[in-house]
Amino acid sequence: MTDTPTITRRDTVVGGIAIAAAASAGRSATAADVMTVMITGSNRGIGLEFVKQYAAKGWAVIATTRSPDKADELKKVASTNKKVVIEQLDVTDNASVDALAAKYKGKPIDLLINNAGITGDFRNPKPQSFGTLDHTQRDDFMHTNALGPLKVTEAFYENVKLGKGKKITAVTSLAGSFGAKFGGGIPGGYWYKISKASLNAAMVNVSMDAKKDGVIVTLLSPGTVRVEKIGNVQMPGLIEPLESISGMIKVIDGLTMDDAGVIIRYNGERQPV
Amino acid sequence: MPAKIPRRTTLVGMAATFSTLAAKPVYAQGMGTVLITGASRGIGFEFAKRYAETGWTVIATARDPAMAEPLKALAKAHKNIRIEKLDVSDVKAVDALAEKLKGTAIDVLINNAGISGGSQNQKVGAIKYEVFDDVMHTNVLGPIKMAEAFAPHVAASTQKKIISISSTEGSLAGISARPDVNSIFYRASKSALNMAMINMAKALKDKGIIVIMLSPGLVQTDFVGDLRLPIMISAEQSVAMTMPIIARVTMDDTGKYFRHTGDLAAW
Repeated sequence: MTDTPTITRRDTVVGGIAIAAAASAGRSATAADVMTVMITGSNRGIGLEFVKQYAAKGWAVIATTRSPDKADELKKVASTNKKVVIEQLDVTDNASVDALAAKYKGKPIDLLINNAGITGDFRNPKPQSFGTLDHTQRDDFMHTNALGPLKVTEAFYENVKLGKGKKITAVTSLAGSFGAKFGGGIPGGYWYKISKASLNAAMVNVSMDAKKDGVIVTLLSPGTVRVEKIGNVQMPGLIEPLESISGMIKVIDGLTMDDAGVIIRYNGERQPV
Repeated sequence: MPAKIPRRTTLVGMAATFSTLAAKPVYAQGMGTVLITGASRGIGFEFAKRYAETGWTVIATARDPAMAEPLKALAKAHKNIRIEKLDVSDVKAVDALAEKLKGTAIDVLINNAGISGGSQNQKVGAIKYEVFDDVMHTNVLGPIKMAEAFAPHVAASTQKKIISISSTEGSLAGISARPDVNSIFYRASKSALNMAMINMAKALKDKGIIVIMLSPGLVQTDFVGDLRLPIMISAEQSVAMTMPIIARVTMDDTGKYFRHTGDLAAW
């Protein structure tokens, strides 16, 4: 057990009593009890809902976003819940990831949620449709959706090993799975789909490496969630963020090593590869 | 003006085949034109050799033809081989070759060019991120761009087949079974390639183009370095097994992922 508090910011805000107690006990009074989650891409959509729900559960939350200045909703959440710490992070920027990892060096993270991702503009399918593929977009998709989660996982792996939870997940998609009902059946979305297929393969690979450390690495499939940019559009099978994220949190709570390398849907079903 | 391969060549070739059909192996039936990327060595070279020997018209691409001595020698011995310089990861170069070959019917496009990225660069915990783009551009985006640029050539042919050389390393089940192999980018690239191809199979169905993926087996080439395993086969053996698969697939097979044995591979 390290004497270092899980997150400095949290302990400062827990209040004078806790700090005094920690001082008298020689360690943080709450460090043993409070779980810490790090969520990438927290400014909106699925990431933001994860932040809200984990914060409501009393977890310490490290919420990362590319542009904290523009993350008004996240800032609002952080202003009313002092356990939410906002960190600037661009998962495609290795130096940025390494810098944040250096800042958190030696601090346990119980759960890492690789959520940051891009989908492209769903109202304009052309750049991701065969015959009109925009090859200038492809690297952005691969870097954000596949390489970023891998880099973040590698950079924060030691933190997760230090945590009690020892769980790493990445948010994938039905569109990243093979089979007629999934990635093979939905038209278009090439860059998104291949980036998620890459993410899945990479995380399955990491899950094998992580087993020896007792770290469970899984993929989560959130369903088709009504995130901000979907607005009021009606689509079959669309679910609300609350349902998707509370479902995924339940899944995460129940993860065992048998789930390593598995894609699990928000409702607990295993998604075929 | 760039020299074009006349469509006539194919027809003459096919006529010649009919007289000796019974004596020819299955892949000699319905000879046509094949374009093979990454033909300078390994599996690609073997495809070029075998197709040329069988009488097909072969367009063999290589990143650096000047350095591809065996391929040059092969082309010298077989007048039906034409070498074209091509880096499949270069979108403009792919467009330029497609334009140069405009009007040429290509019966079979084999997306073979691929790189491993080097196992020393892909150990989890010490991943060299700078090789990611090379692996993805060559193994995934190259085949996508090739299919896009050459779909008209393939659609204009008789056989209309696009073949992508994948790997069971890209199968999620394969990854779980072999945790000790350091090839995370390579694996991610082959899974992505498969995802692109199953989508392409749908997109090209209307044009009558058959799209399949082939896992060549664990082939002993420069690709695997010094690795030697009992299950390894030679490039000759691999190509001898996969050419009949290419010859026999029909539209019923589009979007399927075959092992060199003819069995379906897991995703």
